[in-house]
Amino acid sequence: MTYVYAIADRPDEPLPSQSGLHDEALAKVICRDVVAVVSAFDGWRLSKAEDELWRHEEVIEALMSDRAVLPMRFGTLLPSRQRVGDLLCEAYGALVKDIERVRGHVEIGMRFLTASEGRSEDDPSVASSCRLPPRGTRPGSVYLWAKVARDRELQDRRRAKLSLVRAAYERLASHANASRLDDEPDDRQETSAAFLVSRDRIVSFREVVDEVANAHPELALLCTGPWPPYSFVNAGERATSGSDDCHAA
Amino acid sequence: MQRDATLARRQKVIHAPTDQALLDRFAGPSAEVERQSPQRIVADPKSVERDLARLVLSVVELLRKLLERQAVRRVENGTLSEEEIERLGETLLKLEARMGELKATFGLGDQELTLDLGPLRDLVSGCD
Repeated sequence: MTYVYAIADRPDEPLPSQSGLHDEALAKVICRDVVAVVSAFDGWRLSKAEDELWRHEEVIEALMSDRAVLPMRFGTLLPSRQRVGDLLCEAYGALVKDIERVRGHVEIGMRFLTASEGRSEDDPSVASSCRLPPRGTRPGSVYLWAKVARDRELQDRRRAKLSLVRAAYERLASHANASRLDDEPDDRQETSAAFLVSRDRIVSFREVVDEVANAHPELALLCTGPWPPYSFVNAGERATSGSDDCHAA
Repeated sequence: MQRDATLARRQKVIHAPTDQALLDRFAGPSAEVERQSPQRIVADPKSVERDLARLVLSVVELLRKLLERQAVRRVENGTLSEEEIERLGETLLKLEARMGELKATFGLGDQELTLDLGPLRDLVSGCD
């Protein structure tokens, strides 16, 4: 198996001196003027342990120092280097477009929480709202209507939070070249967004983040970066995830 | 919390709340909760009964919350008569009470009955 870190331009440039996951040597798979940076995957298990995630990240960031990079998600595997090469050539046109789109840009990540947001069913502020007058006086009805009231309260809170988040997001998005808002997170984590920002505008974007934070004291923002543009890779992810014989851990 | 500390060490934090309690909430489930999650049964004779109970009760709790969620939706949709609401509510009430007894019997807390269902987690958290 072959582990794929990223797809980049400038295939003739030497690879970073560092090693990849499990200290495997980095290698190139080239198709015309596009290169996939890979390492061998000899059946060791990907654990998503923090140091492995950072090793993946470090390889990509090292590549970004002197070329435009389409980062692959942690755990992108293909059966062989030959297959990597085939996919590179098949998706070549789209990859080149993607590389041009992210050239000179980084991703800034943002996560949003509301100050009053509860994460537990034991959140007392939600529990209190369930003391709405129930319909009916029998125990089963009281119980179920209390659950309905609580559900409505949580939905109202979620709508109010999304409204706040969208206002902040729009302001930030106007200072980015591209952006994505994930307002339906698939777990109980908070709403998040990603912004594609030119490297030379990171400082000014940071100032906008501070302005937005000051303008929305009811929101807590955690802004991180700069990252490789994981959220803005289209062709590279399609090329690898569209293959029947690859998987992401 | 460890994740945020690593982000700070690697100079990846651009903006973060100054309130430590808020910052902690960004860290997600604590390591303690993750440690307690019943990912596997430890084959230790001293704890196997409790571990097995924890796993079984986790599944039962998941089903109970799903049932409750479905009941709330049916009430919201107005598809239940008052009598049906009472019967369903009473059933769920007794189920919750029984679960409370079982949790107390085995000394289990709510956080120990958390199943990591990956992308399905929202389905469950929506039942809270």
